[in-house]
Amino acid sequence: MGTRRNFLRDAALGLGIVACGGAWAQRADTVTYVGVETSARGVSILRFFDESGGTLGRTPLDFRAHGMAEHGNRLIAFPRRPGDRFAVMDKTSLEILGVEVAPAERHFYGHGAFSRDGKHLIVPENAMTTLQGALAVYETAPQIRRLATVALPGAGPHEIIRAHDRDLFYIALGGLETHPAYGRDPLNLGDFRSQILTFDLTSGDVLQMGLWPGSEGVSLRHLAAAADGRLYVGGQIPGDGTGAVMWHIKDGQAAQIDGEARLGGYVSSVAADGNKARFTSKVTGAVLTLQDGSIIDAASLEGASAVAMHGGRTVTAGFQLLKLDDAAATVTDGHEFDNHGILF
Amino acid sequence: MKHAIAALLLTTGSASAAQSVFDANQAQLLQDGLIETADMFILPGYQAFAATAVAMEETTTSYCDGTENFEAVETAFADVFLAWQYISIIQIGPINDAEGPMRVQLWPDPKGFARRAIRSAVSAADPALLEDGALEGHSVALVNLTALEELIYGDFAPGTYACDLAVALSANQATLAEGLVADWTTSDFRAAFDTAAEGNATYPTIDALIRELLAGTVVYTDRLRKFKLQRGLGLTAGESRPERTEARKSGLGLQSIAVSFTALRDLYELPLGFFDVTPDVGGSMEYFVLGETAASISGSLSIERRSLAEIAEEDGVVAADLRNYAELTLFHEDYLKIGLPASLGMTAGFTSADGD
Repeated sequence: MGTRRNFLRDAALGLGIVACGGAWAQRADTVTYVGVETSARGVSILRFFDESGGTLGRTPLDFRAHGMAEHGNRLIAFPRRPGDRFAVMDKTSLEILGVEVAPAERHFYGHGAFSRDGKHLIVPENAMTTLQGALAVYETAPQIRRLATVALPGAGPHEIIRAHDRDLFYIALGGLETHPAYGRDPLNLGDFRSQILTFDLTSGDVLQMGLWPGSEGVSLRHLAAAADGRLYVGGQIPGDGTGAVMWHIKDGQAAQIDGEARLGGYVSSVAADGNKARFTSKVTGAVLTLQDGSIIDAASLEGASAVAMHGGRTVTAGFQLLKLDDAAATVTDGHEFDNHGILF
Repeated sequence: MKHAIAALLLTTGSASAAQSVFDANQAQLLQDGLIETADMFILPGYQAFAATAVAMEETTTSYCDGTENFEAVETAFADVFLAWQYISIIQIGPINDAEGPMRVQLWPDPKGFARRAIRSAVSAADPALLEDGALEGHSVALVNLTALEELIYGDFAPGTYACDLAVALSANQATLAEGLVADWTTSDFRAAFDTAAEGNATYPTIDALIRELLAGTVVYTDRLRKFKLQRGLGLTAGESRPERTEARKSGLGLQSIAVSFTALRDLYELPLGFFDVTPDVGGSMEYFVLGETAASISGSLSIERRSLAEIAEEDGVVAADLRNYAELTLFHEDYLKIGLPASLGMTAGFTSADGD
């Protein structure tokens, strides 16, 4: 007899994926955007949108998803910290092809990025025995397979993105030590420093871009690379603090972006396209649009979280509403749009 | 139509103010309920925590002087430990400063940070650590109640450094607790709390305050289920791990669970408190049913004389009951995350807790 507890246990064991993997999925050749919708029970579904904001399909996961990465027909959904597995999906059929589980004593941080040719996938993770960050390097063909681990000089790596023109990756190293056995609370709050790193896939070199004044007490989390060479950086201030949480880096020089008062010490997500960028904050609902590093528009959307920009298109989602250019969609009942999404 | 929705909710303009879903009268009603909750639940809860922490300091001092027995220390520790379990349901405001609630209790502690910190401190026997205020800002691993439990249930004799360190740890907890009382009595935070209905820098709307209060309560119920209950008892028979139960050395794990359910009931059912006024703005009476259920569980546990570790060891009928109680906490989470916000017309915002 299927009891509530058995259902929860099955879900925890990943059987939910087997049972539901293709249940809501339809063939979708025209996916424009994928958003994460999370239920109050803390599990997510991926919702696939066409260019007019119509829903092409939904694929349920058995974990709370965070960021995504795509290349070719592959779509990867990463778990929110401290999730220990990510889902590998077919972007056309919307079906889950497999689930990759982290080794013992390691968990992922919610983001990852493909190499330019798609042959490698780089995933930030936590070494729970040391609480130090690392990058897991996977090869993607013919099957996803873990190749190597690269140690990072600090704790809490979060978003990783790739430069547009080469296999150079930027990593936001949040600096906060966490261990799932202690919940999500930082264990080194009184003594941490955050920074941006680069990882060269070809050489394996990890370099530090340096610390800059004003970022003390801020955990740098989210990144976006603009075509004009700017790297946009969004931070989060642990606790209820407020202060600077937006920077851009150009030619190795970091510059603070004014407007922190609108963000409540919290950047949910950052995106860039061309010479424009957008920052969102769930805390205040702020949606800030920038051009050439300066704010040109400030809007408000309750629970502003996921933002994605690509090819002149922009998606912004709040708790309940998703806006894809001029089209809009409301969230699935009992769910909220979560922090990230991806535009193709 | 879709465009109309978007235009309504994605408002452009640098001066766009935060919007509440409540009209002025509703907001004031909820504000009054929140102030009542602060005055009659939160503040008394912190005052009890402070009083028991001071008593712990005094009792430990007497024990270390050789004028009090160990049973008195055990009783004092139980009082402060359980006072914290009760009021830790509140996870907004000053308790989140610095390292947050871990300053009071770092548990679970599978890495043994507290144990290692205590061993290291006792081994070093640094007299400077015993000076007034020396522990302020020190590693949470050393200063919290798990560390204090490790200390007093270890090699703990009058006239030793360990004894003096226990006095210092107790004094540090007393200072922290008194600070919380002061902050909830008169402070910039308290002023912001009391005026959320009007909007301020901390709480632009009363919705934001309500959302934060509910999010903290969700974390509390989640910890109750996952850590206090399921961590030691597992999800089903045969999965019990007595060594993973809370406060094993002091034997307070079961009382900790009972107090947690009592705290839920008291918070829900406080007359004219926040939950009690929600039906006047569209909320359901579900809080009362949940509160009564929580009280019933607490009452059942109060007559059990065995420790949680002993119950887990036996893995019998009571262990099964406790696992069922863990399942029941999911109804609290549903109510706090979705049921109540939806009935009030609020967006729950449950995905906004805990950052990332």
